[in-house]
This record gives sequence, C-alpha cells and structure tokens, in this order.
Amino acid sequence: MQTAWTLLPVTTLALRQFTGGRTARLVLLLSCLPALFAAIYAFRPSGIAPGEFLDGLFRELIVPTLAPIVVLLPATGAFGDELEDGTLPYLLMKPVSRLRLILGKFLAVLLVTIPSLLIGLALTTLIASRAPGSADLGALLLAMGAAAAMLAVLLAAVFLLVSLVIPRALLAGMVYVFAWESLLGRFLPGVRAISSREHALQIFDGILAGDAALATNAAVAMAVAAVVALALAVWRLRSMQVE
Amino acid sequence: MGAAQGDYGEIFDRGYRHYAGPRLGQAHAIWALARYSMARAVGIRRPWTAKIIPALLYGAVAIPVAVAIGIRAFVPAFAFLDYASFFGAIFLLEGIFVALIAPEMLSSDRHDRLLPLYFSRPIGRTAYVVAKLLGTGLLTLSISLLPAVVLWLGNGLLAREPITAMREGLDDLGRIIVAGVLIAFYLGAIGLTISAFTSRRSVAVGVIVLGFVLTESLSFAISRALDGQGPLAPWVFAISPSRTIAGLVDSLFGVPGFGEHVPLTSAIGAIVVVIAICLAIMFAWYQRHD
Repeated sequence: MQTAWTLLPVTTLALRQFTGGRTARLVLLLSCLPALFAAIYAFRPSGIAPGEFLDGLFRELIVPTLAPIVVLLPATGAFGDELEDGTLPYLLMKPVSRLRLILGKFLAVLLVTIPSLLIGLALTTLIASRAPGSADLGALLLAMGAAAAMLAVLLAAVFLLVSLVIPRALLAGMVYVFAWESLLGRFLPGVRAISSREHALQIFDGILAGDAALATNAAVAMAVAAVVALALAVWRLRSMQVE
Repeated sequence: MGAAQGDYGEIFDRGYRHYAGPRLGQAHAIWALARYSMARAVGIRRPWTAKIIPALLYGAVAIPVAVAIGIRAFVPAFAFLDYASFFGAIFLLEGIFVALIAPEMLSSDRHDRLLPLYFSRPIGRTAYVVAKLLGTGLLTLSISLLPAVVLWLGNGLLAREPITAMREGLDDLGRIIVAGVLIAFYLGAIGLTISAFTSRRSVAVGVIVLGFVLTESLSFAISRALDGQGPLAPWVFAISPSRTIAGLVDSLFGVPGFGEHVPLTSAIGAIVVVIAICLAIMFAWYQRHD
C-alpha cells in the first residue's frame, strides 16, 4: 500500500504534463483514427463482413504502426521532455527512489495510452458493426483490446529505457517501427521471434482461437521483456550523468 | 565617432561604436539564416549524437546508388535500378528525413524562445519563413535530387560512348530534376507546416511520420469506397503524399504504375496546390502569432 502511495505524486505529475501539453490530446486523437476507416467502410462495405474488416484493420494498421506510435509519444516524452527542458535534475533531487520514479512515469504512460487505445478500438468496432454481416464482435474487441494493452505495456517500458539512453528517442523509435519490424520482419523470419508485433498478434490469435497457451506464452514473454527494460531503466537513471 | 552617424536617430551619442561595415541587405540575411538552419539540422558543429541519424539516412540513400553503379560497371546490360523505381524506393527515407529536419528548423526556435530575438533583427516574419523553407528545400534536394543525378552521371559515364549517351539522356536528366525539385519542396512544405504548430520536436516528428503513413491508407480506403464513381474520385490520390509522388514519378517516367494511372498535369497540380496552401498557412500563422 505504501508503495502505491509514494508512486502517486510522480504519476500525477507526469499525467499533468501529458494533459497540459498536447501529448494526451494527440494520443486520444490518434487512437480514434481507425474509427474514420470504419466509417468509410460502413459507408460502402462492398461485401466484406465487419469481423473480417476489423481483423484486417487491426493486423495491417493498428498493431504495426498506429499503436506503437501512440505509445511512443508519451513513453519517449516522459523522461525525454524533462531532459530536453532541463527539469530532470529537479525531479532527481526529490527524496524519491529511482525505482519509484521509473514506475511512476511508467504508470502514467499506461494511464494515458491504454484507455485511449481501448476507446479508439471500441469506437471503431461500434461504427464497423453498423455494416451488414453477423459476427460476434465482442470477442474480437476483447482480443484486440488485450493485444493492444500488452503491446502498450511492452513498448512503454522499452522506450522509457531508450529515451534515457539516446536523445531523439522518438525518431529512433520510428526507425525501429518502420525499418526493423516492417522491412526486416518481412525478409528475415528470425526477426519475428523478437518482434513486439508478432507477440501482440499471437495474443490476438490466441484469444480468438481459444488457444490459451499461445496467448499466455506471448503475454508472459512480453511482461518479462517489460520488466527487464524497466530494471535497465532504473540502472541507467542511477548511473547517468545529468547536468 | 563614425561617418555613418547620421543614419542613427539617436538623441544622445553615448559613444558606442557603430557598425561601419557594408550593409548586406535582406537577401544576405535570408541566406545566412537558411545556411545556419541547414547546418544545424544535419548536426554540423553539434555533438556526435545529433549526427547519427542524418548520417544513417544519407548512407541508406547512397548504398543503393553505389550498388546500382557498381553492377552497371561490371554487367552493362543489367539495369538494376531505373530512375522511377529509385524515386519510389527512397520515398520512405525522404519522409523520415523531412521528419528529422523540419522540426529542427522551426520547433527548436519556438522551444528555445528565439523568435522574438529573430524578429527584432532585420529578419522579419516573412523573411524568416522564406529562409526556413529555402533551407528545408535545399537540404531535402540533397537526398532526393543529388543521388538521382549521381546515378544519371554514372549511367552516362559507363556507357560505351559517354558523350552521345549523355546527350541522349538529357531528357532523363530533365525529368529527374523536375521530380527531385517538386518532391523536395512538396515534402518540405508539409513538414514545415506541421512543425510550425508545436514547440516539441518529438511531437512534430511523430505527426509527420504518422501523417505520411495514415494518409496513404486513408486515401486507399476512400478510393475503394468511392470505387471510381463521383466527380471527386480522380482526386482522392492527392490526400496522400506517397500516392501523389508515386503518380508523379510513374507518369513522368512513363512507367505503368501500381493501380490506377494519375495524369501528369493533375499530379503536378496537386503538388503545387498543396505547397501553396502550406505556404499560405505558414505566412498567416507567423504574421499573427509570437
């Protein structure tokens, strides 16, 4: 209980930074963009069932590009903006351990991204369900939500770490998302084993097909990677030189 | 002191030394700001961490050109990379390059509160925007036009009779220059307009890259929904920079494009209109604010 209590100030501070600037609004706006695609689809479905459309949208647009960038914006900004503005030393001067700083910021990133992603997915599903065609969209929404949330957890942890190591972490993240996951993932199948996208899609497929083992394995792998990244971030924050 | 004292409307002469050198004028001020902005954007005279990503991007563009010329040197008959597929291949790199330099041009000045300093000097609001646009356009040319010209030179010099080959290839060179210049200023204007609205470099980077990707999917989705009907259907491509550039390159080099064909005039028209809109937004924005 006491841990949660001391996390709170850091988290509320970070949340205020996100809502005060443009980041939180931008994250929500971007998360709701798939609804625009759903509206175009609902306007003229051309014989594609809603379930099929949502499946394609999730695989081709949301998981590869949209969700990573939605997570990258606050995750690289949480410490990156403080470094850029030179306000990190004031934060580090407070009697709060480095672990709690990292966990507090991490929690704030998740509190901004996961609700936004879920709202966007729900809105998209709702609009797409206006098109004719029967399907159980509830299960699909659950699978999409779970996969997107796990992806947010993993990427938030990894890019908190990256933003502490290199400047312009967002640009590096873009290069990772587009170059590494898109291009190399296509040519080198081995890359897929360590690709965040493949793991998120395994959760999605696992829940949809009722294959609990597949989904759990992927979720555990992602959680372990997130914990390792957070531990490294704590170590980096302890040892880095901040002027 | 000083002969030029009459130029200053001073009530008291406090004995400060006045600038007595030549007055270089507005054009020189614009060029100085453009040159400084370009150097800053690619990380010249900045720590090495600022140089990594520009260097990687230049490397990524140079490698295919070098490989193409190398293959051409040993296997003359094998055309590894024609100009149209070159411009198609580097679109993603150009997009990332613009996302790298455009926020550096505008957002940093806003973030560091430099604008009042600039505007209290001979650089006015219009001149500031012109200088930044010039800098962005020229830098983007170095990644869109320069490699293509090098490829053209390589192809010409490696031909059996270089002089005739180059004379015959002159219209190819013209097409390369038109495509390179249009693409550079088109992407540069879009990137600058987005970065003019935020003081956070990272937010501008995100919006630019995501904008390029999302508008492409959006434009394909609308195309599919309209299914070629209605008066607006032929213009849906203009929503997306990547489709506009693909249309321009395909019709310019006469290559059968992916999907439907975009007439050359409408591709160029869309590009010019977008550049004009971006310029109008930026000029208006910088006149009114800050």
